[in-house]
Amino acid sequence: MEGSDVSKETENGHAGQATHLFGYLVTFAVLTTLLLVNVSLTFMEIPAPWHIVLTLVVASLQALTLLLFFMHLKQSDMLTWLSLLAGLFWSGIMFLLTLTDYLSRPYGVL
Amino acid sequence: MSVEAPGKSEAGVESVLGHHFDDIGQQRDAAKLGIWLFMITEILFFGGLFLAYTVYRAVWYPDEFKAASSHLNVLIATINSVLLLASSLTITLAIGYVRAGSRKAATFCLGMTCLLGILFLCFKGREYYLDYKEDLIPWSATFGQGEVDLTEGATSADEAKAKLQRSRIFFMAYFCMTGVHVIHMIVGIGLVGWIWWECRRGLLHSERFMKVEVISLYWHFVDLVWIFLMPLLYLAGEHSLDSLHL
Repeated sequence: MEGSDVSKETENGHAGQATHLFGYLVTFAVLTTLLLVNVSLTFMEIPAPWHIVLTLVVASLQALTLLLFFMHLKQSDMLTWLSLLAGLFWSGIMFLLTLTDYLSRPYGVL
Repeated sequence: MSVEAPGKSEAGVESVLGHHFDDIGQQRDAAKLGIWLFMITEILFFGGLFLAYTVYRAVWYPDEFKAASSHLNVLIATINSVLLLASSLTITLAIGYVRAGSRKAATFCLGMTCLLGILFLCFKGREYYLDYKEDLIPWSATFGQGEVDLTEGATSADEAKAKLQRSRIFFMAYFCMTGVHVIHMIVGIGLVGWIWWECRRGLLHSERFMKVEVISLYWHFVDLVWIFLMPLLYLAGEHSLDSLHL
């Protein structure tokens, strides 16, 4: 495999980003399987709140797999993790403050 | 500080090292941090759209959103998801091939990424056309009263009007979110096309692999957004196998 030379590289901060064809194919297979699981859930009769919760949980697993392996977050330094967590943290503030406001208002009728 | 990979020439490193960086490792770390900081702004940008959707979907009109979602094309969305996941695989492989100096393999992988992205847009175009044919364009005067009847189940004229208005909000969210995603896809295809062209011309030697890595992170982010658009827009409603069509 052409990428095998690369796997010996030990560059700091980028270690493990070498072409591990098999590993990436497994990641792709996992992502595709999770997608099919998610799509099949839509054809099942699942009670109202659980349907969207389940599909979002599966989507989150897909996102985590993509982040860890395709986006190399698993091998990344603390600064990269901090960047991602900062993005999620600020989004969390946006969601929390907005929803506390909307959830405490009377039902909006259109 | 970074240690340069064995087998890499000093001249090659110097040719890509910016004068304002101490060494190539610092330059690569800065590039990586830069794209991650950009992605924070993107998370917040799409977060606003997801939040608006959440307020309407979870707080105000869950039933109408669920009913409207069942009229979206799940088959095309699933094909598009597979195309995007495959393109994420090919662009990830391209990084390794560029680092290894395998020009042919890298060119192939980058070309495939571009092609899969273009195919995604073709299917998206087909989906928008089907929405147009089914009168699901929210700013159309005949919205929801053609092939697909969004007022179904309403017992009075007022209720039918309210159902139509609420469904209109769902389709506004659908076109807005997928439309912004499509714009990101077009930018991504342009960027991948640019490095594909450089790679093909032999201008993208192994020391410049970080350029591919940075663009790949953007590409993966666009894929991540789609991963969450699927359950929120397409899988939110009930679908039957009979309704699947291209």
